[in-house]
Amino acid sequence: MSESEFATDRPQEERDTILEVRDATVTYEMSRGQARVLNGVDLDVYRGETLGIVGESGSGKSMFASTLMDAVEEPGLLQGSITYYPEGADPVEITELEGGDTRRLRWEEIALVSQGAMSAFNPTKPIRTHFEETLSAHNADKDAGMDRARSIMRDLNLDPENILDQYQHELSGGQRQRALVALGLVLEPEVLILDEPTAALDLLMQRSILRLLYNIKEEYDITLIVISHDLPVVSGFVDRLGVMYAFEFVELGETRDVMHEGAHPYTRALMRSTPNLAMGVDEITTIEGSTPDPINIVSGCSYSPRCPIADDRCTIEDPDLIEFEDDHDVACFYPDEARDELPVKLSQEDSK
Amino acid sequence: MSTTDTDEDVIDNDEPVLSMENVSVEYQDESILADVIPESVAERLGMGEDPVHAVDDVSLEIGEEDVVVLIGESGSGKTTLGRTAIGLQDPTSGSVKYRGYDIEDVERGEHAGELYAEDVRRALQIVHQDSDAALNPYRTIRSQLAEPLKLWYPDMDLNDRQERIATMLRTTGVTPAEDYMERYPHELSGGEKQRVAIIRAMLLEPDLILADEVVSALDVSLRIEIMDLLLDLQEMFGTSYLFVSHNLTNARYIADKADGRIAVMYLGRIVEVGSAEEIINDPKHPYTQILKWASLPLDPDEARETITDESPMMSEDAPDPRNPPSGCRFHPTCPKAHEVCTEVDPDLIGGEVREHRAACFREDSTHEYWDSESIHGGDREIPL
Repeated sequence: MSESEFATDRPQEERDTILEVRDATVTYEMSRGQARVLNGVDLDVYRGETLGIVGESGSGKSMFASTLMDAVEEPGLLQGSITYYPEGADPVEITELEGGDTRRLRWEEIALVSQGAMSAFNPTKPIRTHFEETLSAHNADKDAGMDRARSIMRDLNLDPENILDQYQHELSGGQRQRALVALGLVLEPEVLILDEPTAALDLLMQRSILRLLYNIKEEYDITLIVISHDLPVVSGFVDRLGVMYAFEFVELGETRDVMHEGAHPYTRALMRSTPNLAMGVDEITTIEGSTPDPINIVSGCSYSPRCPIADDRCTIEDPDLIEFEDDHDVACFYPDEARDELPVKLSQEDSK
Repeated sequence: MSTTDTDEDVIDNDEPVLSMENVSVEYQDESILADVIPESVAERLGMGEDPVHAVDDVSLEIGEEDVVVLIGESGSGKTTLGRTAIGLQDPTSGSVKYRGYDIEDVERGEHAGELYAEDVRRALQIVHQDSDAALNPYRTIRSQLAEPLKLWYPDMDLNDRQERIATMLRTTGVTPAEDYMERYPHELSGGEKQRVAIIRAMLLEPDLILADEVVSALDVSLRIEIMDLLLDLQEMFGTSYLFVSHNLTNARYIADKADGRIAVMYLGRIVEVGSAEEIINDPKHPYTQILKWASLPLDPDEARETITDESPMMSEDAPDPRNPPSGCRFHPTCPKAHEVCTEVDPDLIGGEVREHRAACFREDSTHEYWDSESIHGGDREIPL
C-alpha cells in the first residue's frame, strides 16, 4: 500500500478545520482537592477526516468527547474555547451557546454515540419511537427522516422493518450498537463521535461493525471521531491518531506515522502492552507504574514517573505538544531516544 | 506461609486435577410456569420450547499446574462448561471428576472419610469478569479477604490470618499492603479490584481457578498485567486455570506463556483443541480460522488493507441453540461445508487426547467429505 493512500486524502493546504479546540480544561472540585480531568488541550479536527483517539481508562478521552459538545456533566467546569466552523456559515463558539442552540448543535451538527449501548435506548419504547422522537424534537420532516433512517439501517446491514418494531432487549449487542449509530446519523450531523464503538461485542461482530463503520464513513460525507482504549479497533480506519495520557494529548499525527514511527515513550509502551498475534509473547510487556491521579498531577512531564528514558529535566519541565516532524506532534524532549531505545514490532516481518 | 497447615493437598494421587467425560448440560424451562401464563406470552418468552443444549458431549482434562483456555463467542457454552467444571452447575449427563472422584458422588457423601463436598468446593474456585459485582462496596479489602479464610479455616487465629493476607498482597505487588487493606472497593482502580478478587480466590490455595473473562472488562494495557499475575501465582502455588475468553489474542498470550492448551468452542461443542502455537499458527477447523481472521492486527497497514474484507462466514445469523443445525453444527456458516457435513457430526480427530485435534472431516484425507458436493457451489477461502 502506498503512503498517499493511507494518509488523509487531500493535500495539507486544503485542510479545512471543522472544530478548533483551544486550551480546553475541565476541573471538578472534590473533597481531596481540585481534579483536572482535561488539561489545557489544543487540537484541530479537519473537515471530512477520521480521527482516532486512544488512551487508558481515565486518560481523559471520553471527557474530551464531551467537551466537543459542551456536554461536560455538572459540577465539572469547562474552560477554554471550542469553535465550530459550519461550511459556508459563521463560526460558532460552542461554549457560549445556550439552551435550544446547544440542543440543536448536539444532534444536528455533532452527534455522540456513547459506550454502554445497553442503556442508551429506553427499554419501554420500541426502537422506532426513538427515531420519531429525535426527528420531532428537532422539527425535522418525519416521513423524510424515517425514510433516511431506514436507508441508513440498511447500509448498516440491519433490516429496518424488523428492527424498528423491536425493543432494545430483543436486539443482539451488535444490532443495538448499529441501531445507535443509525440514530446518531438520522439528523445528518456534520461530525459523528463514536466512543468505544465495539465494546462488549464478540470478535466476529466487532470485525463486522468496523467494516460497516468504514463503509459508512466512505458513503456519508462526515467527520468521524473514534475513541477507544483498544488501539487495533481504531488503527485500521482512522486517518489521524491522537494518543492521550494524563488528561492531554502526548502524540498526534497520521496513523501510519504514529504507529510505525511513534515518538512518545507512552505511545510505544501502549503498543507493546496490547495483546496481539504478531509479537512473541515475551515481547508483549506491561506498562510499569500506576495511572496518573487527576488531583495530584506530577510536576514536569506527567509520564516521567513511568518513563524508562526520563531524566532530571523531565521531572521539572513539562514538554509541550509540538510539531516534531511534518504533521506529527509529540510532547517529549527525547523523541529520537524513544525510537532507538524502545523497540516496537507491529507485524511478524517488522523488526523495528 | 508455613504458619498453617492449609496448603496440604487433601487428596494426593496421580489422577488429573479435573476431568470431564462426555459432559452435556441442557437448560429446560419450567413447564409449570408455561402452563399458567397465556400462550402468547409464553411464546414471546421462549418458554415451553425444546431444551437449550448449552454444552453437548464435551470431554476435557486439566492437569497439575495446567492452563486450559476456553474460547468462543456468546452462546458457545464456554461459561456453562466452566461452571460445570467447578461444580456450580450439574451436568445433565456425563461426569466431572476432581482427582478421580465424581463431584456429584462426593456431594452425596459417597466418599465420606476420604473426600467431602467442602474439600472440593475449596479446591475449585472462581474469579468473575465483573469485580464490582464480586466485591462488597461497603466493606474494606481487609474484611473481604479475611472472610473466606474465616469460613474455610475457622481455627486460624487473627494474627495468622492478617499475616497471610498481608503476605499475599505483598507477593502480588499490591503495596503498601497495610494501606490497601484499609481501603474500600471504590478507592481502587479496575485493575486493582481484579487483583483483589484474584487474591481472594488464591488465599484458599485452590487446585483450580475458573477465570471467567477476568480481563475482558479491563483496559487493553492492563490485560497483560493481570494475566502475568495469574502466571506468577501459578508458579508460586501450582494452581491450574480454566481461563474463559472471547478474545483470541488474550487466549494465546496466557496459553503460550503457561505452555497450556486452547479449546475452541462453538455451540456447545469443542471444535478444536491444541497448544497456543498450534491454534494460532496452524488452525485446522474453519471456525478457528475465522476467529483468527477476525482478530484485529496491530499493524495499521495490514488493518487498513483488510478492513473491507468480506466476512468468510456464509451466514451472520447466530444459530438457535434450541434447534442446532444437523450434522456439523457449524455447517450453515462454514465456507467449506459439503453435503456430508449436513448429515454427520464430526468428532475431534487428528491425534491423542493431549494432541492437536479438530472436529472437521477435512482432517481425514480419506473421508467421504472429499467426494461430497460443496453446499455453497464450491469451497471459499478464509483469508489468513
